Amino acid sequence: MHPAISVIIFTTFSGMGYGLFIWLCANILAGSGLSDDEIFSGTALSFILVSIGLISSTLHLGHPERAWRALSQWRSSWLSREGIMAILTYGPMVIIGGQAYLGVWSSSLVMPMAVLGILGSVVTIFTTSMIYASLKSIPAWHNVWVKIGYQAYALSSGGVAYIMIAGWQHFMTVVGLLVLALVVKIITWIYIDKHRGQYKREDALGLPDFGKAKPFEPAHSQKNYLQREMGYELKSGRRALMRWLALGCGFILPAVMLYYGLPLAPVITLICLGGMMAERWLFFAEAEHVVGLYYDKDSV
Amino acid sequence: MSNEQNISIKTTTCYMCACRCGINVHLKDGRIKYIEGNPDHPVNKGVLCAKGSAGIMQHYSPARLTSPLKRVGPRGSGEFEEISWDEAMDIATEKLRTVREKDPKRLAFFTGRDQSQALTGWFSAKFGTHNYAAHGGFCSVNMAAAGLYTIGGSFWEFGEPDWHATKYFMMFGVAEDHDSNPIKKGIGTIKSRKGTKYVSVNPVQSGYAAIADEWLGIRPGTDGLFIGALIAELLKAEKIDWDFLIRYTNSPWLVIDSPGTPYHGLFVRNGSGEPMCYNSEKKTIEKMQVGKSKPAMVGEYDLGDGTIAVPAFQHIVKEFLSDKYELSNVEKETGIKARDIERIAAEMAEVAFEEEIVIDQEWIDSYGNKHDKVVGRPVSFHAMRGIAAHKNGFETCRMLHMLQMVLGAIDGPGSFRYKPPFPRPTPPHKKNAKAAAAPGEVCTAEPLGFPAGPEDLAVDENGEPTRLDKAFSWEYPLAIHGMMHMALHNAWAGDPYKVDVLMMYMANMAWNSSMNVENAIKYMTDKDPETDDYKIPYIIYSDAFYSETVPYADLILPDTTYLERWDAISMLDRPIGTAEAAADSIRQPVIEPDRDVRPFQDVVLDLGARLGLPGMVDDNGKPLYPDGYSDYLTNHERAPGVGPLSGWRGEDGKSHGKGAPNKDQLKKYIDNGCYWEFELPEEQQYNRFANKAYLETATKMGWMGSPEPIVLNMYNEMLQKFHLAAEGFGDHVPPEHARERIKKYFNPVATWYPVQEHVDRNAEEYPLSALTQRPAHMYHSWGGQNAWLRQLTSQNYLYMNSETAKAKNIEDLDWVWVRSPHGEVKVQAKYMDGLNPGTVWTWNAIGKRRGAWALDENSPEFKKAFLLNHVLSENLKTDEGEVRSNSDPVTGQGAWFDARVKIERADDQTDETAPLFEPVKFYDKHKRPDILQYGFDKDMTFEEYERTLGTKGESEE
Amino acid sequence: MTCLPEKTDKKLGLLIDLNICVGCHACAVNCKEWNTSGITGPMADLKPYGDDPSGVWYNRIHSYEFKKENEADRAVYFPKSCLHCEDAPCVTVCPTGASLKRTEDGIVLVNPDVCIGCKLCSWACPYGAREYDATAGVMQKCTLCVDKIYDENLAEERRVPSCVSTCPAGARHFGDFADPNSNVSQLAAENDARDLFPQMETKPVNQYLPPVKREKHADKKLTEKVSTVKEALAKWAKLDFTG
Repeated sequence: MHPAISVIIFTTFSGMGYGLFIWLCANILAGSGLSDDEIFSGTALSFILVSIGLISSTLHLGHPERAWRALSQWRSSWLSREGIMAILTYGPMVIIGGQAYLGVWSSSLVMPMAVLGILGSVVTIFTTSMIYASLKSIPAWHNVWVKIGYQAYALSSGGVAYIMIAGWQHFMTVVGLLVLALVVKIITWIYIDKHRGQYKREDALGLPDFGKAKPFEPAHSQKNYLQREMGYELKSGRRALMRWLALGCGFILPAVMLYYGLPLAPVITLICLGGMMAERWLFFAEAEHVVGLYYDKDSV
Repeated sequence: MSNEQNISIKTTTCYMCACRCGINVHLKDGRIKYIEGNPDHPVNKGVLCAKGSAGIMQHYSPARLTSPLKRVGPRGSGEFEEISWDEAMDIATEKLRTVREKDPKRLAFFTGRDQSQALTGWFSAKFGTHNYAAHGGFCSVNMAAAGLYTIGGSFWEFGEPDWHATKYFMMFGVAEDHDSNPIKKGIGTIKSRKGTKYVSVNPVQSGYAAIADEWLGIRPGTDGLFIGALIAELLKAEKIDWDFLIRYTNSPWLVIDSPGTPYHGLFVRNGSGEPMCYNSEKKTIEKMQVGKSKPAMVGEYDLGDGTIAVPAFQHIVKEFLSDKYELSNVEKETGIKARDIERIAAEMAEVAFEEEIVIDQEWIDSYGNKHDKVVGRPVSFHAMRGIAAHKNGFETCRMLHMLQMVLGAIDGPGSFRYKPPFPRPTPPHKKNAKAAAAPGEVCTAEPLGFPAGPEDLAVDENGEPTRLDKAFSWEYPLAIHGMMHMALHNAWAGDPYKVDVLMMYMANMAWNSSMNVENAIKYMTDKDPETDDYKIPYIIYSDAFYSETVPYADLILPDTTYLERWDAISMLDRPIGTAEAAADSIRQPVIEPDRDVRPFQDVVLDLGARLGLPGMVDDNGKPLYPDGYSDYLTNHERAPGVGPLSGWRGEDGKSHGKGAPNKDQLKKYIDNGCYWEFELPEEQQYNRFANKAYLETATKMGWMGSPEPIVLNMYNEMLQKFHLAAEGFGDHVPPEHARERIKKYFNPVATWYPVQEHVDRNAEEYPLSALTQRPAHMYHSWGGQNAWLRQLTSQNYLYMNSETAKAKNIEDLDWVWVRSPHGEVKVQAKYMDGLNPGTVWTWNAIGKRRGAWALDENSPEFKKAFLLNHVLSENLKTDEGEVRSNSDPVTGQGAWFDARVKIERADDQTDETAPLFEPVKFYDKHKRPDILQYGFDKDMTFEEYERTLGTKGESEE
Repeated sequence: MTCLPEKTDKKLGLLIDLNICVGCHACAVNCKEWNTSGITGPMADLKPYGDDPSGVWYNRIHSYEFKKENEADRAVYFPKSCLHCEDAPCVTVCPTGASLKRTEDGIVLVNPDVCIGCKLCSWACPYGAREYDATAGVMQKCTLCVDKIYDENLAEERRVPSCVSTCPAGARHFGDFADPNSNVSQLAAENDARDLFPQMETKPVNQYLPPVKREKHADKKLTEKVSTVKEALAKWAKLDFTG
């Protein structure tokens, strides 16, 4: 799949945003003694990250001005559900942040809102993951590890951001989450590498009994939308580099830096976000669409 | 459309290729909305191919010429000045008038895929030049000539397989798509029913070959040997339609067997010129009487004076039972397994003789015999350029017709069937001009025709060519479509003489229509050091588009698109009949030109009038057809009562075939969907070479001079006359230098011989045959520039058998050098399995010259696509050191498919073809959009529109 | 509404006969020609005269070479357009309701006035049947010529998708797969019709008839009656035929 920057920003930023918000809400519920400033700056950062993500996702659209229409089909569409959940989750975010900054609402609202905030964020992350995991046409996405991964990466990257906001209290938990997310990522890669090639061109053509098929004349001399959108060609050298970048920056480096307590939380957060973007770039670039079987792919 | 009131539909005839389908053009607000096949039309019955469907993009092409142009820079620079039509016509008239007054043959007029040859040929004759031809000479003349000289018809315009009844269909060769839609319809028909086998004999398994029930990947140029082997198998097994051969062919006719005499090989005839046979019952030599004689088919018979004669069939036996057609030899040459040839022959024989189709239809033959049924042998064939464009193509095509005769599979149910006005006499009774006219005079015959013997050649008193292209000379005696591919070279070389004006119409001679592009350009740009003028002093060119050839002309007369003009697909030319009906058709303008262009046919008539040519002006010198081509189509009479169009003749419009001109004729055509169809009663639909009722109809309609039967030529006496002439007999003998060739290649019985490139000194070094074909979506079309069609193919590859490629360490998509003794071209190779291992091929004419066709300078057509023409040459040197045209020695057919090459991986793998020619000047007369949104402004939303469909009924939720 | 109808009244679709298709692209071009000014047109072309021409096509013609042991190699031309699946994943993923499957005939359409151009439907389709029009920012696809097949101004036999009416070889058939007596249902039943990519569980309405297999031929030979010129001349001297 073509790794479009708008969609990479959408999922990584909003993932970190919701992860951070979950951390905030969990700590509110746990009574960790977060200051109002910390709560406000945390929710504000969540809000900004999530909003950047959502705005970025609309830049991907052919008709951004019609984006509101995307909220209508919640009964069937994960994308629609994601949009709705993202908007609903702004509720707890705004209420908790607003209460912390202005104190305008009753403080008794905060606790239920934190519960809703966690719930909303987890569900929103899940709906995001389901946009991809529901697509049978892209085997690299159509599996449980994508659903697990989106939650794990959100929590780990959000945790790094949480340390930047609220200090190092839970740094070992974050390190643990980073290691866990790393393991999920590696398992995901092993899984998709292992399952690569399960669909054959002959299946796509409905002619499995005619022997081995290879393309003769392409439908059109030059590439078309389908090939440009779904036919991203990832060179193996590039794949290795990006995998190391994703592992290194997304998980290992932040974990090591946190473990050794380097007082560079903002830097660690940026490194982690960069790593997540590399991871997400690969998420798209590595995902082969079965339509490639009609073109130059023997199997997907 | 229910929701679009301002739509109108006009019928006309497609011209995106040469297939001539009827189309319905939907117009909205004066723009073309949609073009579909006309469901009633005899050619396509509603279907339309990719080319026809892309007509919109052709019509609105940014490469359209917009006004007459006069060259101001050097040739090839593309520097032109726009001039008015008045000025352009003045210039052209002046140039032509000078030529006509001095020496009319110094005008050479060559047209391309011209469908108005009845006009352009006639114009040439009236002008006084016989240096005229169209594109047939480098396309498929072998097929046409072999057919017309053998059975009075051939494929495509001449006849077709009986798609609805045939049980065994064999198709030969690449580039078989002349009859684009009817072939597809036909193959679809036979593939839709069980029990008909379809065999493809084709080096390349693409297109039609892909869906064949059996594919035989034959080695190019050896089809004749394969066919000969089939004939041999049939003869040996006595699977011969003896009845057919005796009744309808000249097999039983006695041939004089007296080597070294002027009569050797000629038929024995009585005092009235009638052929004789040996009556094996009466044991006497007698006049051959079909239905009465019981003729011997073999044997030696004394004519009474000691002269021996043998039935013609004996020569057939000797040819085909010779070692040449031994299966082991055939297998080696053709690459087709001996056991497959044996099996195919057996399959054919079984279908022909055990599954015959009998129709209870009485008919009377031309000899007065009554028949109570029609018997068909349902084996049929189709072939076109694939077997024709070889230097042995004439013989190969003849052999294919001989195979049909042996099987008795001609014009019967399930076999090949003629399309009226065919069959015609073998050859047709139309003579070619032997020489140009004297200054100011007219030619007594039209330039192209059918020589019936050495006496009809266009040669001077020394036996040397009188035509520029040397057609109808001793070198290429039966070049019935001319030899356009030699015109540029010969005009440049002054061989046999120089010309003053070269006029061309829709032929891209500076690019893919010439065998060697570099030379073609040289011929047009070389100057004579003595005069400092171009060796071809003046070039007038008419085309609708800015092709590679435009920059080389001195005067451009811009043509319209096919949707802006009148045209006739005339019975005088190449009509559109079917096996059941005669038919012709017209084109009508469905849209007004938006630029200063004129239909070339109008221009020709105007030029003729300005020059005062007989037939184009009245006695007072006034134009006879002041309203142009439509005026001519209505009012011109070639012979009394015979005009360009056969339908609705006579003042009352009630005559068909012959009749006085009818001023409402074109309206009648338009009312009828722009075509006329004359269906034959079933009695007249079969055995038409000797069907009395049919031949009488044909005579009445003006298709035949008299209702004489057409005897099919198993043995061709006329070719023997040429052979005798080469031995020095007769009043017309070839000059010394031509004799050996005539002796070798003019044989009364068709024979196979290998083409030069397969056996000459270069054969071993250049082991691979190189072929080209056009993709179905561009066949016979100008489609390479078309915004939609070029998306399908804007780049071509050299397809190589993957095993062959691997043996040369060539990987898929590697750039390779293709080299021949004549040139080299760097191309991208692509693996293919369904390909004869000794053959490589590519799509032709995808590669274009940078600057032409109003395409962007970085278009793939300029950078990556290529022409294989660079490795071809229009001239070949024989091992004996003679330089000969790369053409069939009998018909002059350009031998495009004889090329042999060697292939090596290129050291430089840069993504670019070579050679790349200097760009021609870019053409920017039209806006060339980066985004094309062809369609119409919608006046309602999707939902409103969907509601108008009337399907949102009760089922709506 | 992007929920799929539980059942459609008709199942209109195409039956494509790979045993007949010669890959001539007629269907693809005529489709483009009709639909560019049709209900969801125009079908834009990018750089139509440029270095990388491409455009929206509802139908594309692929081709493949098949190799199998003990069978002759063969080439197959393969036209591919929207299959109007019963379980169309492209419809359910649509967040706006622009993608829809009509209850009355099962045709899958995109409403270009509502489409936001998120491209998700093109990701969801395993067949590559959806084409994004970058110039209009909306998704496009085969409409089964919905604006032609119901047009009562056309003769009844012309009320078929343009790819069907134009196909020169007659490789394409149009009809109602829900009706077991329809032409397409019967052809499908008689000829081993195939679903494309059944593993994707989309229940395509369009069906493909496979190419006929090329069997190995048993040797067969005519009985030779004469083998040399001499024998032939001797034997045929005794022929007894009246012409």
